[in-house]
Amino acid sequence: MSARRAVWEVARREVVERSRSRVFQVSFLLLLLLAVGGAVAAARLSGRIPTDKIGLVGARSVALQPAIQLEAKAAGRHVLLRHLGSQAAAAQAVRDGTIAVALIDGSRILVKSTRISPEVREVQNAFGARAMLDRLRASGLTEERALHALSPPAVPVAVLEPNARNTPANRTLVAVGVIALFTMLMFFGQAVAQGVTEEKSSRVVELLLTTVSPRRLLAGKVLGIGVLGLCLVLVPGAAALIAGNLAGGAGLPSAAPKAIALVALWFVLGYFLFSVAYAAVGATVSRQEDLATAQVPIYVVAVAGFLLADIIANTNPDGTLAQVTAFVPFLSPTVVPARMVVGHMTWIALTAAIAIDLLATAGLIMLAARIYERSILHTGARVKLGRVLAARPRRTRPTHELAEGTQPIEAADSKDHEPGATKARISPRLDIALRALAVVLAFGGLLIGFSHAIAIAILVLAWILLLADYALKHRPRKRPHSQ
Amino acid sequence: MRGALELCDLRRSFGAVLAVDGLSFSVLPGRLFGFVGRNGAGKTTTMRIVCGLLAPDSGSVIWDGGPVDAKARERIGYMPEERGLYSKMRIGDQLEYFAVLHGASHRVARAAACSWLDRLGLADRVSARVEELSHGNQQRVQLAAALVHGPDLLILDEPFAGLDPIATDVMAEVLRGEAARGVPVIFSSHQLELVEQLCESVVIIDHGRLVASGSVDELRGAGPRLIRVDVRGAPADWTDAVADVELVERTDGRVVFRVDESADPEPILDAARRAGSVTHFAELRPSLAELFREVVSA
Repeated sequence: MSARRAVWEVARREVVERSRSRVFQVSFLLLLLLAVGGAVAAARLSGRIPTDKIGLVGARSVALQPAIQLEAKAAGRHVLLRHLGSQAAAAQAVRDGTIAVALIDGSRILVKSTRISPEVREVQNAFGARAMLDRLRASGLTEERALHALSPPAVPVAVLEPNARNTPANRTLVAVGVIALFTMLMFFGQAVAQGVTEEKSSRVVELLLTTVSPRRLLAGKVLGIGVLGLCLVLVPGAAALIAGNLAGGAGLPSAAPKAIALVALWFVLGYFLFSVAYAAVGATVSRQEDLATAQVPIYVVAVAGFLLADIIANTNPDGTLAQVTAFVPFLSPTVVPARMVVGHMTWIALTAAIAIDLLATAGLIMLAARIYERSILHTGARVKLGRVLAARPRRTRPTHELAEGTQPIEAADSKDHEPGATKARISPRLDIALRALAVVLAFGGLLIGFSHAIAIAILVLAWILLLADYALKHRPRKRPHSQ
Repeated sequence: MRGALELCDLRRSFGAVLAVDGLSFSVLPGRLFGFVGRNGAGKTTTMRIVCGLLAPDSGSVIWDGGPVDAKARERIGYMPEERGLYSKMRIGDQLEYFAVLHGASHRVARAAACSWLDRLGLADRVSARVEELSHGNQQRVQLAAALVHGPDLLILDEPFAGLDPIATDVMAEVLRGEAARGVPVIFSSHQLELVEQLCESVVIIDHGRLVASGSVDELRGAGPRLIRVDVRGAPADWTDAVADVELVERTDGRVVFRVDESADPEPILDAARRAGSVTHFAELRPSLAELFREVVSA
C-alpha cells in the first residue's frame, strides 16, 4: 500500500470514528450555538442603535413629525412615531411604556416620570427649530434663507488614529479568539495523545504496525484529528461571522473576519507543533492514567502562551515581551494572532514567525516520530526519553524499525521495575533551591513590570531554571548495556 | 519452495537478555506448525521479527523466496499475544479497516468482514462495539482481524489462550481450514495436547534456541520405547523372568519397561501371560507434554 493511501486510511478512520462519537457531536453543536449566540449578542449589544418611541396627538403635533425625524437622525437614533387619537390615549400609552413621550397638540410634552431623556430632547429641539424657523420667516426671510441661517457650519474633526487597533472591541475579540484557539489546540492535541495511548494500551497498535509503518500511522492520526479540529474552528467561526452580520445592529467589530482567519491559520500551525509533541508523549506511556502527568510539560508551555497572549499581548501588543514571544515556537500560535489584531505586527514579522514555527515543527516531527516509533511497542513503565533517543548502531535495518528501546513485555517489565528506577535523580535540597530561586525570580520580574527588558530576561531565566529542574529530575540513568 | 517460510539463524537481544539465539527452522505451506516453549523462551520475539515488528540483530526471514518486506507483510495475518482491538469501534467497521490497511478496497474489505463474522457466528453483531461483546466473542473478532484480508501466511501468538472448549474447536477448525487452503499456519501454544492433536510439525525452543523440531510422530518416536503391561493376580517378582529390559515403573498391577528399539515385545507378553491375566499391553510413546518437559529441563 502506498504511503499516501496508508495515511489517508488512518486519517479517514479518525475522522469517521471521532465524528460519530456523541461527545464530539454535542461539543460541536454547543460550540456552534455558542459562536452564533455570542456573535448575535455582540453585534446587537455593542453598537445597537436605540429606537425612540414618540406619540403624537393632534394635527399640530403631526406637523412637527419631519422635524422630530431630522433631530433623531442628527442624534444618531432611530425614531418610531405613533399617531394617537386623544390625550387620554396618549397618557395611557406613556404610563404603559409603549411610548416614551407624547407631544400633545404641538405644544405640550407628556412623560412618565423623568423630564430628561433623549426623546424629550428630540421633541424639544424639533419644537424649538420649528419656532425659530417661524420667527425668521416672520421677520421677512424666505424659507430658503431661513433654513440656511439655521444650519450652522460644522467644525472639521481630525482623527489622529483612524484605524486604531487597540480598541476595547478588538481586545474583546482577541480575548475570545485566544481562549477559543487555546482550547481547541489543547483539546485536539490531547485527543492525539489519548488516541496514541489508546492504541498502545489496547495493543491494537501491534496489529496495525504489521502493515502500516509507525510514521504513517502517526501522520494519519495527526492529520485526521487535525481536519476535525479545523472544522471545529472554521464552521463555528464562519457561522459567527454570518450570524453577526445578519443580526442587525452595528455588526461585529471590523477586525472580526481577520481575527477568525488568524485563529484558523494559527490553529493549523500550532496544532501540528502541539499534536506531534502530544503524540510523542502519548507513545511513552502505556495507560491513560499515566498520560495526565506525562503531558504536564506541554500543557505548562501552552498555558504560558495563552497567558502571554491574553494578558500581555492583548494589553501591550507592541511591548518587548509580546514582540519577542511572537517568534518563540509554542508561544507564537496564541501571541501572534493577538498582536496582529490589537497591535502593529508587520507582514514581514508575521512571515518570520510562521517560518520559525514551521522550522520548529519540522524538527519536532522528526524528534517525535523517533520517540513514537521507539516507544509505541514498549509496554510497562513509562519510557524514558533519554533512553528512547540514545542512538544505537544496528547492522540491519528493515523498512520500518521499531526495535531500539523496544522490548518484549517480559523483558521490559523486569528492567523497568528495577529498584530505584523511579527514585529522584536530584538531591532534594538542590531541587528545592532551584524551584525557590525560580519563584523568587518570577515574582521579581513581575514586580519590575513587563515594559522593562530586564524583567523579561529575569522571567526567562526563571523559566529556564524550572525546565532545568525538570530535566535534571527526569534525566536518563546510565545503563551499562545501553550502547 | 514457494510459500514456505524460512528463518535463518535469527538473533535478537534486548540489552543483556538474549531473546532469540541463532534460531533456524522452516514452515511449509499448508502445514499447521506448532511453536512451543516456556514463557520467555523467545516465541513472541520470533513472531514479531517475522511480522516485521522487530528487527533481528542478525539472521534473516525468507518467505516465498524473498525477504519479508512491506508488500509481503500485507499478506501476513497476525494475531498478537496481547489481544488488541479498538474497544469503541463497531466490529464490522473495525475488520473492514484492518482489511483496508492490508491493501483491500473498502468494498472487498466490507464483504470479507461480513463473511468472516458470519462464519464465526457473529453476523448479527456487525454493528456492535468490541466492548459490548463477551470475552469469547472478542476472541473471535480478534481471529477475524488476522484473517479478514485473506492472508497467505498466518502467525498466531497463543491463539487458544483463554478460549472455552467450544471456542477452541472453532479456532482449531478455522486453522485447519486455512492450512487446507495452502497457507502456512504457525501458532504458539502452551496447550500441548492441542498442539499434538492439531499440528503436523512442531518446534520447541528454549532460551531462544531450538531444542527439538520435526513432525509430532517423529518427535514422539525419538523418545525412549516404553511398554506398559497391566497384569492381574501376578506375583510381584514375575518381571524377573523378562530379559533385556529395564524396569521403569511399578505400581500395583502395572509395570512399565524400557526396551531397545529393535527388541521384540512378544517375550514380555508371554511372561506376563504366564504370571497372571493381562488386562493391558501397549507400547507407550511419550506425549508432547512429557517430551517437552524432558527437552526443556535438559
